[in-house]
Amino acid sequence: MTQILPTDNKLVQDYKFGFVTPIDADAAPKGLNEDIIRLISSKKGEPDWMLAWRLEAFRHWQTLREPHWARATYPPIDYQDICYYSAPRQRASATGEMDPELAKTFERLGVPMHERAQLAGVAVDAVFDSVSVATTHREVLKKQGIIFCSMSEAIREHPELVRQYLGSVVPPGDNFYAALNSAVFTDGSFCFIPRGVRCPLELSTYFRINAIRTGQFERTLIVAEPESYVSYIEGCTAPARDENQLHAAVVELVALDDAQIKYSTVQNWYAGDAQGNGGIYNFVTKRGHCRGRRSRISWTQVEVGAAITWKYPSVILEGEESVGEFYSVAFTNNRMQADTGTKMIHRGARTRSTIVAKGISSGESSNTYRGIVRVLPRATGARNHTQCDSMLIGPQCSANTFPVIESFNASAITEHEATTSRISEEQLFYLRSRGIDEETATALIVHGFCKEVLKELPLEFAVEAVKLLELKLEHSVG
Amino acid sequence: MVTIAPTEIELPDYDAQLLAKLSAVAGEPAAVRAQRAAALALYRDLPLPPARDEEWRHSPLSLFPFAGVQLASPAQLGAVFNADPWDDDFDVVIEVHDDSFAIRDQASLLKRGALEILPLADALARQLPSAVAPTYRRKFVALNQAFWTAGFFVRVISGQCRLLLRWQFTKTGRLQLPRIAVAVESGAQLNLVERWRSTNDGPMLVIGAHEFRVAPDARLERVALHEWGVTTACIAEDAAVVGERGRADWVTAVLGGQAVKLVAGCDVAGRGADAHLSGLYFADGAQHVDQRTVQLHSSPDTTSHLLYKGAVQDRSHAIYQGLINARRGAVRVDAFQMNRNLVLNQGARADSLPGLEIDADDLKCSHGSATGNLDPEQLFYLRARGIAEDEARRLLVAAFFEEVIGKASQARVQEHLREAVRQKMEHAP
Amino acid sequence: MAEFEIRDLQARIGEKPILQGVNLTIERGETHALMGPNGSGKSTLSNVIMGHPDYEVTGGDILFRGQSLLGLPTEERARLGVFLAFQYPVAVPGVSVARFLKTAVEAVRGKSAGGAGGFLKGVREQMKSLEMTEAFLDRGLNEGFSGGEKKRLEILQMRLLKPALAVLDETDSGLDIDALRIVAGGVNQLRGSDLTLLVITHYERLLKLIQPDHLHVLMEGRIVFSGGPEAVQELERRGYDWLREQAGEAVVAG
Repeated sequence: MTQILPTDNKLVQDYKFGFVTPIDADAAPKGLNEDIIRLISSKKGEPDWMLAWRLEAFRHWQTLREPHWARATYPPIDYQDICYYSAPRQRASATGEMDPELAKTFERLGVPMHERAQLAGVAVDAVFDSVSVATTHREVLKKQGIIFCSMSEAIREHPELVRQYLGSVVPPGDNFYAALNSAVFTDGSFCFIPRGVRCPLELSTYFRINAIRTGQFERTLIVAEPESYVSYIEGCTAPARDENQLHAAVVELVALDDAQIKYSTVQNWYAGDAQGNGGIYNFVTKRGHCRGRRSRISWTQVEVGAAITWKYPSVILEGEESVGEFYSVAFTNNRMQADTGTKMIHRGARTRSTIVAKGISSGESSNTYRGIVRVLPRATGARNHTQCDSMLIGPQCSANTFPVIESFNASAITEHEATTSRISEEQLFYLRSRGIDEETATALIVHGFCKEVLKELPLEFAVEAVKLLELKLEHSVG
Repeated sequence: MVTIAPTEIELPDYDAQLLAKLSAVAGEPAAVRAQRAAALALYRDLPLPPARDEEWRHSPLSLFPFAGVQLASPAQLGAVFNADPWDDDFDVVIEVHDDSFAIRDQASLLKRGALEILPLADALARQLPSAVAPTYRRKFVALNQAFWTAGFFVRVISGQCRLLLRWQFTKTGRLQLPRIAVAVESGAQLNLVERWRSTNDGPMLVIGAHEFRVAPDARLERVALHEWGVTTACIAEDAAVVGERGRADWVTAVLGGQAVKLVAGCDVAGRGADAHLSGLYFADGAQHVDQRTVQLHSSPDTTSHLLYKGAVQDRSHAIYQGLINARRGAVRVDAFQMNRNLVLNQGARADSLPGLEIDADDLKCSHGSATGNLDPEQLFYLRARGIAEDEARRLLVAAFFEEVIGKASQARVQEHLREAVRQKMEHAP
Repeated sequence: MAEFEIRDLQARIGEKPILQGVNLTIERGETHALMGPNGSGKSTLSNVIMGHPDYEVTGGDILFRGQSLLGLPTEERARLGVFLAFQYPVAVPGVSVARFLKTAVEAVRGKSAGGAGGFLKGVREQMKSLEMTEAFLDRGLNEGFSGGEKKRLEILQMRLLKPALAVLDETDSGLDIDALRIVAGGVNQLRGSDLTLLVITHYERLLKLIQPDHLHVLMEGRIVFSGGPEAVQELERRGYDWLREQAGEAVVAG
């Protein structure tokens, strides 16, 4: 069975991915300035245009202010106290295989990279700190004309494609973190699905933060040419440390006529301890552009980690009859703060969007849905349906819902519904009256509550996501 | 992307000198002057809401003609009371016409001691606790508390009182700052109807701030009709606090005005308290109507129910922002919020921002929002029965609003609202 | 030792006392009917037997095979063999009937009962006898179910969990006569020396289909009448008022 996330939960007490890999790193000195950016660019052997792009983004970033409108409180981030580049020093191997220490790490994370154990239906790009360390199943994909490689490689090998699409969905100056990412992004995945090709494998990137005091700034770009299809999966973990680490990624998706991109995330960054010490700041800009007619972009996310999440995977519905979807489960416990949601920008006629967001808050956490649905004047006959439900477990947590619905079109229909309530006593009693213990009953009810979202995940990935959710609940009930 | 460019404007200097002039004309005692001065200090201390502020993002301050208006003179007791057919349905009528006001006690409630009405200055001079304004850190509430030009203190002591407040502004180029402070004592009931009107001759700006205290077991029904002329802009913030087992029913209707920005906040503060907020708005021409509601649940066992329905046509723009806020420990709260908008033609715009901010667990809060045009299936059905399209549209729009119109208890108010909707539909493009 | 015994049970919801000293003894394999007007405390009694958190027991005891149920969590009671067929089974959207049944059967009867390959086969057979279609298995638990569908699912659960003591709380409410016959038939097939039944109902029509050995009437939180099955007809004819008068006198006399 495909195993992106480990399933054995007996051993897990808190966060099973919190280990550190003992490996030497080639790291840049701390701090951020033009020299650091030049260093990153030269380490990656980038062409001049790429460096110029980065520097422009950096200059723009310096004019921006850190956004603070999200429901999250945290001490000021010192951007000069972060290391912006850290690559593991891999021991050379005659067979071209991965460094054994890294191979062991990804194996422990449930993502075996070596030839024999590679996951059957999934091609994986493994990103360790600032660099992609391996990509599997490349040959199979290549035969169909699919490009799946690290972003650094794409910049070198496919500059014309990267130049055409990079920053075309999330411009370098889009927001504070996107600008920062544009200046210092280190790696990530690039996927290109040619016209008419249905990608035979799930494409997947596994992001691992390992080095201390290092930020991860990955950049992912997926382009689906007309009539193509791809399903992409993203997983992420980091060591358990007392310090906060910054993860500011940018993901851009482009879907042309009749193309479909399905993007699934299980986000399990280290969330800090019960007192709120440590954990990842997950400040991410994800946006898809339905550029072609009848194109379709679906975001599915299961957010169970990170100390702070600031993330609004969005879709710009440009092409006529294009479809945008956002399915989200956000679970918070302890002192976690999640502020997540989506933007659906309807530009084209008869565009449709669906938003299903489920929030579960427990402990002293804060869980916020924030979203925008905007129907512009040309979007004749556009439709949106939004359902946001929040479940509260315990009296000390918070659940907020802040949608914005803007309608500029007389023929559009938007509908939004939201509910917030405690986990139902009646449901718990009913299940317990059938002999099911409280913890299992709670897990069942939560699972049922999230089902609409979980069913959107690729099947085997969904199984893992459910287990992860149950694992998180075990420490939140009772 | 369509966003209103942030335009930072500067407000005229509302300062101590201006305030001294106002107080001198009104001949106010030191106690009142001191309260005005404190509010002025707060006003000057508070920053202007930035253009990107979530609450003001859709309604830039440049919509409001601060520069084109001068502070009005304080209202004085006038000699004449102009009767109106509406008066027949009420026990007491307060009429304000520019800078003069009159009160008619038609059912002798004042005389019998069941009701108290004072010009606000008198109530403040006597330091009546329910008249003294609470301190909100809100820029325009503070401006109103400093410069109010006409104000009343109303206290219903016992029994039921039906009160009509008729305000009419005709002098152009004026900044009017009306203010009412209402207290309904335990066991008493107030049915209040406010009619806010102005002429169409030139720019006027009205900045209101009204406070309502509903004591335990008391009841307040309030209907506020904003029927401003097309050259009038209005900013108003209304706040109610409802005590144990008390009940507040608010109906706010916005039909007139060039730019109207209202805040209606209800603190369902006592155990067993219940609030029902309803809104009707119909914007046409180039009208801009921005309304914000807050259902604040600060105690356990409280309920609130909100229904705001609006229509936009021509080039008008309506914004509804709602918040249900359940504070930590406010268990067994049941709160609901629904906003529905009709966008009747291309070029009109409706924004809906419902919100939930929940810090307690044992409760049930929900909201809904739906925006669209009239249902083509319904239109078709009516037309298949021989009804002309215009008539069918009128019927459906009338039906859409009927649910909120029914929230106002008085037949005269209901009929008035129906007629207002009909007239708006007459001007449909 | 009686199979099931309620001793001077007193319970309240919030500040309001509802059960005010209920006494009831049921021998193993017997079927007892409990009738009473609205608000007499019938549903409270069934909820208290199962340990509903809204009710507070303020006195007395509930003994199942000599062991007190009070203080046991609800699921422990179920695992001991106590079953409540709910009057209003709650919907749990998103949890499929199949998944729920498997989880419950495993919880009550052990992994092997739920995990064996024949589990679903067994479920399907039981469903057939209750005239339920297989489509039920994939639906959300009680989600959008009609009254009859909910009650059939309750009886299906009873048949799968094989309880020793089953309390049927107004299982007849909201059922037409055909559905009632199916549901009663489903219960009757289980009757025997291993199943002790307490049938709570408002109407005698259910008792024609599930014939009790004894009949009790609950009023104002007390059992005011106990008799043989022949009393059903008398109650049907005379209503509860004569009992109310008797009870009133008894209270006065006591």
